[in-house]
Amino acid sequence: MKRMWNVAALGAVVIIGLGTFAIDSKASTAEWVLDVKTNENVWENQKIQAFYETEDEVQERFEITQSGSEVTTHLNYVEEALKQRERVNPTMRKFYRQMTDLSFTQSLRTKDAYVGLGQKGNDEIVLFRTEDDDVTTTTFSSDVNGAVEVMEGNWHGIFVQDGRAHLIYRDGYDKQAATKIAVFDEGAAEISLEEISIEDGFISSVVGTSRFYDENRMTIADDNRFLPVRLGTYETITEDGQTYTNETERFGLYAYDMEEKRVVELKGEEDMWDATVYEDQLIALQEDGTEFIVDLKTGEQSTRQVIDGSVGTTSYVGDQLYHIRPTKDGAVIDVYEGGKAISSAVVKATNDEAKALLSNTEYYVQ
Amino acid sequence: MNLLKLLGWEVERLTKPYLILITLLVVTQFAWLGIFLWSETNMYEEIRRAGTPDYTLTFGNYLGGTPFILSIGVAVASMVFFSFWIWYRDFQGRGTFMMRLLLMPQQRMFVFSAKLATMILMILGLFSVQWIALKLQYIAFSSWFDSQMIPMSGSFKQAIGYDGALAIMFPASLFNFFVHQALIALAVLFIFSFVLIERSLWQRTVWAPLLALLMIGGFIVVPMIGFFTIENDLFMEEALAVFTLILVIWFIGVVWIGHRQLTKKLSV
Amino acid sequence: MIEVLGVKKRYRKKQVIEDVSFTAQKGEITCLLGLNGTGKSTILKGIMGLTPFDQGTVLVDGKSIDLNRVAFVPDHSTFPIHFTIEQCEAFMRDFYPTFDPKLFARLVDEFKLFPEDKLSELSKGTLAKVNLALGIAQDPDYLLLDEPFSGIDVFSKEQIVELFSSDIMEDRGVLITTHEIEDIEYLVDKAVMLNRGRIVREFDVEDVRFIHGKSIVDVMREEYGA
Repeated sequence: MKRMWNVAALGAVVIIGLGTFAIDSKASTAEWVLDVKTNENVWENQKIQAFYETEDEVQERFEITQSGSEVTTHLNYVEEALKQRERVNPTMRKFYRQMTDLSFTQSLRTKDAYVGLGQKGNDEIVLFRTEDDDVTTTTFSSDVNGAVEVMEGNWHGIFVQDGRAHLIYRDGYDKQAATKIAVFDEGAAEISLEEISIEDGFISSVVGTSRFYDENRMTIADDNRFLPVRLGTYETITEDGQTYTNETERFGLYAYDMEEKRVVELKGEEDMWDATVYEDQLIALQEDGTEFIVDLKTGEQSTRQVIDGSVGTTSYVGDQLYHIRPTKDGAVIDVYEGGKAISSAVVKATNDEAKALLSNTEYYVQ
Repeated sequence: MNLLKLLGWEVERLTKPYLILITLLVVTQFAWLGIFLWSETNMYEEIRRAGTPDYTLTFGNYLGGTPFILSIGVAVASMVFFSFWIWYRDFQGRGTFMMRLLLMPQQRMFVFSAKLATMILMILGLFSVQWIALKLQYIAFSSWFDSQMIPMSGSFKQAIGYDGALAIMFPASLFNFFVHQALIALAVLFIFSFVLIERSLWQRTVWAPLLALLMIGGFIVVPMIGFFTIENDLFMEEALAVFTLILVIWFIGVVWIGHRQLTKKLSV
Repeated sequence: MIEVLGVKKRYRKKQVIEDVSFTAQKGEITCLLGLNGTGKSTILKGIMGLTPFDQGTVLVDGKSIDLNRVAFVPDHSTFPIHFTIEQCEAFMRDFYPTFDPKLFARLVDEFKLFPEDKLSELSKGTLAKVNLALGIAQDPDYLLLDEPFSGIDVFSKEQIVELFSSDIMEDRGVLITTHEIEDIEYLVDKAVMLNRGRIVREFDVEDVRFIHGKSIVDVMREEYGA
């Protein structure tokens, strides 16, 4: 019996320790709610992300909907996995599985489908698309003319034109590299290559192309004349007697004109607050609250005043602009479409724990 | 009841070395804390005399110190050693105590269970001591620098979260904590399986431990290779399901190995 | 009755026990005899499940072995050497429901042992007596003894031999291996002789003594050619 005292003492230490641990690992009990004032349809399936962070504390994240909020930090392994499962629908699971199977994959979203391009080692290029609930693939082996050059090149984005997938890539290194477009003819299983001339730079990415799982995807029409792109430029740097070339991003908005086969500048060095492409429109929000719109079929440019006063946190979902302004109880979110306000909602902290977090919380819509 | 009694005997036999280990752990950490507080205070004073000091201390600075990391390392290594030792000491001499354990008129798996329970209790005990010690160390840390008017930043949770090893000790949720403990128990079980296989083969030759290592190594490595091969193609919940299946197979496997070796193959 | 039926055991390339069958009755002393390395200890350990046989069966009173009813006393201690005699007794009381503390106390008294002594401080002879006391105090129906007289002094030997003819050993079956057969020859009822892992002779000791006028040692000399 006296031997059991050792076990009991050890057990007591364990219980005290577990108590210490349990106190420190308490999950946040802050609660929020999304109160929609006008046009509830806009908010169907929409979630607000609230991020609380200070210098001294660990970040807390919450997901807020009309029915309430849930903590999305410090989830256990199963909860995290189930949360991830929620985010990806069954068709997209097949699509994303293709993405992870290949290297250098890039994908985009058109009006009817998702399209992706990747490489299997140095043996083949795989083009894949969603078709209803399925994913179809077309393979271009290294025997196909141009395939090897594409596989060895630096990929900078894809787009769809006339039903065919195109890839913008660089062939070569540094300033000697040539920017080219590879066009994939799935029917004939052929690749044709053409070079684009860009003065003192290169196309660094195509707006709307993603290399990752991306929930918030821009939808890009496949019959636009202008393709919004970002440009990079070369910088020569000499340090400790050694000269080398550095690549940097060029500010501004640019587009590749597919008819004239050249890059045009849409807007100069100004910083855009936020930007999106929706089907055949490029919409960019500027610091003063006006939207700069480019018709990607005709190239016509226009502006419209959207937000009066200072611009808070913004994000685009499709062609809808969500503008978030913090208030003393949470935040106000106004939704604009086509330059007009179409809905308004309020995020409110509903208990003391949430109210204590208000001063260091930021809100996002995705 | 016999299992509890056996547990009592096992814990009693390990009490002395265990207490020595805990004392070493606690003394090392608090001594290092003392040195850290004293040296940081002196350094800050020197900088303050020369001008305006512009750095702040975090609890993470203390946790990143070599003596602290070493103390955790020694604790982990000791538990690995104990997992082997709890069996091998009973085989010392000409069978000795293992003979007595195998001659007891109860299921041999009680011996296995008692040793496993002892190890798990001891590991949990170490965790508990560390949880309590860390909290006390943080209180001492923050009160000292407060009293010296030396700026600090970062909370206890933050400092723990940034430390790789300690983040495992303080998982995000209680569920994750049980998962980690299950993985630790599995590691102990692998060691137990190695010992029992080795002791059932041609003893006192070099082949026994080598063969036992190959067998256990294969049992661990083969499913892991399979898992890592397909992992890229899996979403998180699929990877979790596959990994859970592997864990279940491992658990069943090591308990089966333990039972088989103890009841049919072990020779003393 | 302990029945050993067709047991075999191989150690690496050597067949240590080859098809051995014999019985040991309750209330009798059966002695396993043989030169060094003939497998006597292996048979005892195999019966107790300490060294599993490759083939064969062991039955005790027609059933598989019940460790509450069969005790094994090896030729060395089975407790850690830092244990005291008291601690050994405490362990036995905890796990052997049939362990008789009074019987143990009587044996401690007869053997003049001191419970607070550590095993590491005891002589070989005293250790053998502790072993025996712990085994007998289990109050078993059958007692297996492996070389109980090996390397111990003559006085300890006498004490142990006296024990075999006392009331303590009444009605118990004893299966013993020993090289010092002369010390207990007059107590042994049955002898089983092994050579190279096989039984070469199995006989009733009293019959051989009265009918043939031979002692066990005489029979051993005949068999092993010494």
